[in-house]
Amino acid sequence: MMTDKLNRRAFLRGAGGALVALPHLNLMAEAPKAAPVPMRMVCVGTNFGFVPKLFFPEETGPNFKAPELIQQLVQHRKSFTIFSGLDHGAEGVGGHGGVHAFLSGILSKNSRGFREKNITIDQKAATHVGAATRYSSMQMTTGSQGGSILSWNAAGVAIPPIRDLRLLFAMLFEATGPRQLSMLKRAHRQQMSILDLVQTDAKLLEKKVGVEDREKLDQYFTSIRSLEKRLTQSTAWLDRPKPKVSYELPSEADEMDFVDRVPLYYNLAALALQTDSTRVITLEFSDLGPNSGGFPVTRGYHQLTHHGKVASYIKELSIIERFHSKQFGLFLDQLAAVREPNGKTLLDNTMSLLGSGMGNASSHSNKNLPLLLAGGGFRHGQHLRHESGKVPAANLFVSMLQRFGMDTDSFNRSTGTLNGLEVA
Amino acid sequence: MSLSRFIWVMTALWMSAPAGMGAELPPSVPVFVKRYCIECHDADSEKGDRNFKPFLSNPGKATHNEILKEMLDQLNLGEMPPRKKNIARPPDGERRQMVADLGRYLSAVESDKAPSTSVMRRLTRHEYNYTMRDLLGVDTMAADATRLFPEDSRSHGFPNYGPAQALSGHQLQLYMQAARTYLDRALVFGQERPEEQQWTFKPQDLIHTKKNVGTVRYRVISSDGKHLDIGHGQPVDSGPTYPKTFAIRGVPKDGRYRIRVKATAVGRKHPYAAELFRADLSHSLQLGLWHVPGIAFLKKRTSEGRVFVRAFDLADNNPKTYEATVWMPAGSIPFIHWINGIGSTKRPLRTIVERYHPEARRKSQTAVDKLKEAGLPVPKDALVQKVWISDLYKGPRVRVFEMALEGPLHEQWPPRGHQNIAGRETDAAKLNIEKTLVAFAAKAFRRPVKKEEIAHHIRFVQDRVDSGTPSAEALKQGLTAILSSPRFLFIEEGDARRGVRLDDFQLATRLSYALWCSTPDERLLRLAAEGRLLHGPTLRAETERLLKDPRAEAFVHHFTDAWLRLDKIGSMPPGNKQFPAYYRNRLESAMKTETHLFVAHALRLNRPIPEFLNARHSFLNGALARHYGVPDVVGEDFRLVNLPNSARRGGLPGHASILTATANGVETSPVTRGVWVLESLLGTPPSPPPPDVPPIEPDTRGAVTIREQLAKHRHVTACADCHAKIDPWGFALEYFDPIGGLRTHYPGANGRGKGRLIDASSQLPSGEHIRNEADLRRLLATRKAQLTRNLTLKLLLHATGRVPTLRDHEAVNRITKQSLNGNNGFRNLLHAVIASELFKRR
Repeated sequence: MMTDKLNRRAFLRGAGGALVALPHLNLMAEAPKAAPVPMRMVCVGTNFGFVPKLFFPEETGPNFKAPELIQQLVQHRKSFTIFSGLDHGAEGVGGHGGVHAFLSGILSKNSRGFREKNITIDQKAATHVGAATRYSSMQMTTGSQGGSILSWNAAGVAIPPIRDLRLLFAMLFEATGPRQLSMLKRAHRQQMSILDLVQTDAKLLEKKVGVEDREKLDQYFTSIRSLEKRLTQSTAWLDRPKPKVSYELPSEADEMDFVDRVPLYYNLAALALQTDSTRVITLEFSDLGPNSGGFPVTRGYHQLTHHGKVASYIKELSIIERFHSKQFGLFLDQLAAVREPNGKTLLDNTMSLLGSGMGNASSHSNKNLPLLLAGGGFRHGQHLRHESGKVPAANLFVSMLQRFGMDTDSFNRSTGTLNGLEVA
Repeated sequence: MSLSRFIWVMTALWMSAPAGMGAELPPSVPVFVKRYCIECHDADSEKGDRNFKPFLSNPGKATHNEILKEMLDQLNLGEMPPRKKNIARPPDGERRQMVADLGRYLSAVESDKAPSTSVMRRLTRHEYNYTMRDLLGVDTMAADATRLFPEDSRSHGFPNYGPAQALSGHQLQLYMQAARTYLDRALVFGQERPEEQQWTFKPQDLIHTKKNVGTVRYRVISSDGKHLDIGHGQPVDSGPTYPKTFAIRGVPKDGRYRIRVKATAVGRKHPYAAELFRADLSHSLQLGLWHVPGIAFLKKRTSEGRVFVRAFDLADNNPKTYEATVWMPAGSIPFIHWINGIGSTKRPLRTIVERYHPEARRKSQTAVDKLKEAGLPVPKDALVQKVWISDLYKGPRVRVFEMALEGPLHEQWPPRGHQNIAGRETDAAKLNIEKTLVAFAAKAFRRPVKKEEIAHHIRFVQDRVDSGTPSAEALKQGLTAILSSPRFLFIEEGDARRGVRLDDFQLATRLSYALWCSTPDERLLRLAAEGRLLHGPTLRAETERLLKDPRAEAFVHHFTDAWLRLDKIGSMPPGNKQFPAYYRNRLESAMKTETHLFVAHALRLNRPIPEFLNARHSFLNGALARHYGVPDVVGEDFRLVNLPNSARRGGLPGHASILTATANGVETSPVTRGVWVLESLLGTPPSPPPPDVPPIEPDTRGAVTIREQLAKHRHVTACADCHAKIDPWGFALEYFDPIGGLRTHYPGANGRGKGRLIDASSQLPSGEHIRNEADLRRLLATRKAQLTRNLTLKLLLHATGRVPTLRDHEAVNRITKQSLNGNNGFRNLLHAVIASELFKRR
């Protein structure tokens, strides 16, 4: 059949990109020495989710039979867990309008009452990283419009992701231009001198106020010191040369079809983690762009997700969805190939989450979200089912944040950590 | 001890302890311990690792207080002594007496430890913004530079309690960035007065497509291009209508702009079945006006950062021009929307096409494919659109003819904020750095500043200029530093060791932050400099002057929100499905406005305090009146309304704002509402529940009423004592649903239909029976002394940033008595608080 032929071509293209791209790094000289190896976090979200029966195995536990989509990355089955029955409850409901709650569990419009608004797990993790890496987090997207933003900050504001591959590459590996560098440094210097000035003010104030105010002034002095430290760290990043990689982006990277671009985002993500340029990445997949993204499909992605159980629709849709899980698997391949100073692989040292805020696009349901977590040092290799509607997906995020090194037992609407997901 | 517990203790003590009492352990405590505890908890057995011997050998020692707290919890829980053979248990009366004695003692201990003077406090986020508005003349509403600030932590509603405030390096950086943003906006060095421009947008400028046929689902343009119909309405989330090309750049400069929209409502009376539309079309269609700081905020679901200007009631079939003037930062884009629209039009349109306009019917591609796959015949022209529904549709829409924009309108140049700092000079190089900085620092620090005190700031700016930094830039950096200084960010009230009286400038600051939540103006600072402010008649006259100023609106908003805990609204938003009107009619902001206007009214007219409970009036707009079932109030604007008996409203406990703030968005909780009455009205908050008591699991299926659940609660010893005091107050408000709508029944199973009949009767611990909210209000209104004392304490906390302690007992009683002996008016009470010794001391 024609579809099958095209299908194969698309897959070859996608896979081919990734194979060629497996990074050759000359990092040896610069690899961070002896320091404890940090945990990383990558959250990949698709706008339309996955067809549930193609994603969720029927059996729970370690001996699940991999359905069609899981087949695509089955080589890692010992290294990931598939979750079912998790969602954000009533808070994540809104059809397409609920998808943006994927990583927070809170709709933007309902975020006002929360201390950190609808902050997403990646941004929470980024606060933990602070200035320890060049970028506390990075947001990538393959689409230019209509997507659902994955990352939201503590003010409830969406963080626009970057589509431009060349820009991402430049941010990671190209030297900052002298003008921009001096501008950034000047801004840091300015803040540093302001801190000097206000410290003098604070000392003056210290003489005027009473004992009961000491604690408040101490808070102020401590704040000055912690900010100084952060500014010093940030300035240091400006002076530190960016890591050198032998990886090259195709010159027309940003004009390529979706199927050819996707592996490139994953390559950059893997390289960013490996070079410790950042420890937190979100990657969003939404529209396919022109030429049906290079897929052998005859209808729009969105239209296909409303398949109304028409078999030919599901068949075309599964071409796109298989591609997503396949690419995620190839990304895991890349991570597994990198050995880190603690003797583990980058796959072990990275929590890679694949999922969506959409549970079933055909019925606009935000229940039972597709969620797959790989790596991160958890005891994997299972399909973990929770009773639907009983456990917030935010509990998984608490477990992840703890694993990330954060001393927290809650995240947004969580009720605890996730039962059944243990550290290996 | 947690902070909330501490404040509870402080407030609870007012009602129980005599003045001037220090902490003395009641002799009953060691007697009780000897009688019931020591047998197991002695040095030999040390059951549960607790040994009370050291306590008994020296009961008064402060080091035992931790163990006493544990005892209190255990007694409250009824866990100790254990129910076992051969173990003596105290009779209930004795146990209760012990709980009361221990509680009072531990409270007094805490009060002894409480700071007896104010603690230096930080400006809250809203105070920071109001202060920037007054210092720099910037509009902080339209482009709020403090959006990333962490939320202020509140202690029992009040965000200005110094000991509870936190600060971090991150926040310090945000302070620097916000100051710089506002300074960049305020100062116009080197800029000419910008020319006023005019833009007119025709329907085709407001829509992407040129197509004049379609589904009317969002927008459709008429075939003659003369008007545009907006066919749907979802409160803010999606579908804004805005000038498309203009939006790429937005307005060219910061400034005030006049926005005009020519529009009308059409189709409010339509030939279709009424139930097809999810809107109440008996009221006017409304046009909402917003603006956003950039095009990115127009994307779907980016509602955060959009600034709502207002809603206009549209006339039917009568195009009129609606107008508003707003301040917008450069790059802003105004947009409009049908704000009380019918929500998604997808479903009604489908039915309307089927039922009324079958000629516009067409099969979807998916439906055709499905037929094909099933081997069923596909009608030949199934996919052909013969007539568009937009040409046939007679349903409700907002029709827009034109949008126009004019500005930036500058009343003066340089603008006020610039003049505050640099006078009329727009060439920064010509300014005297020293004079400029000293004058600004005095305003920012709210007191005279000698040049030696800020010599380092002056030197810094001078050095920058000398090393080639442009004067304007150098000056801005210096000003940023002043606005990041602890002398600006903190309200400093001196050293209690050198005396507890505030000086004139500190008093001026207290007064302006109490009434304006902002920095003292020139006149206040001048009076302070002349040493006249502390003089009684001057202080009273100034209080009056400040209250009459529009800036006093801040007092009404922020005091009211803290006192009545309206800050809680929005933390548990009602469900959209369960309460669609809450969103469609913007009830949340309407209900807050009602309470603010009500309190403002009481303040303006010096109404007696019991009127907060038994008023027969309130302030309503059309949406809220509909919510309350009050007839004949239509439109967006609020007005004074005399409430009919049938509405069962009047007084604060009937305000939807409070009824919403004390529910969780899904169901009501008599406990939360009871606590609210005790805390916000009577000032006798119940003690927090002992540890490890599971909360009540609300059962929404209606099989078990909340009353039955609470009855169970009251039968558990651990809960009984407190809940008997809390729940009855809350039961009386059960006729009001989670968003304050009147109801006669609980919702039925699965939230549908009618469930059980409401029963709002209860018996207070004092023995009085109350049947409903009317009895509750009547009863509360008679408790004048308690209401007045509570309000006094709340006003003091707001005005001084300090929790009054036992030592202040007499002063508080004096204010309360003075009010009760006079006309018990709200404005007089506020005056009495400000005239009191407590307001004038640290």
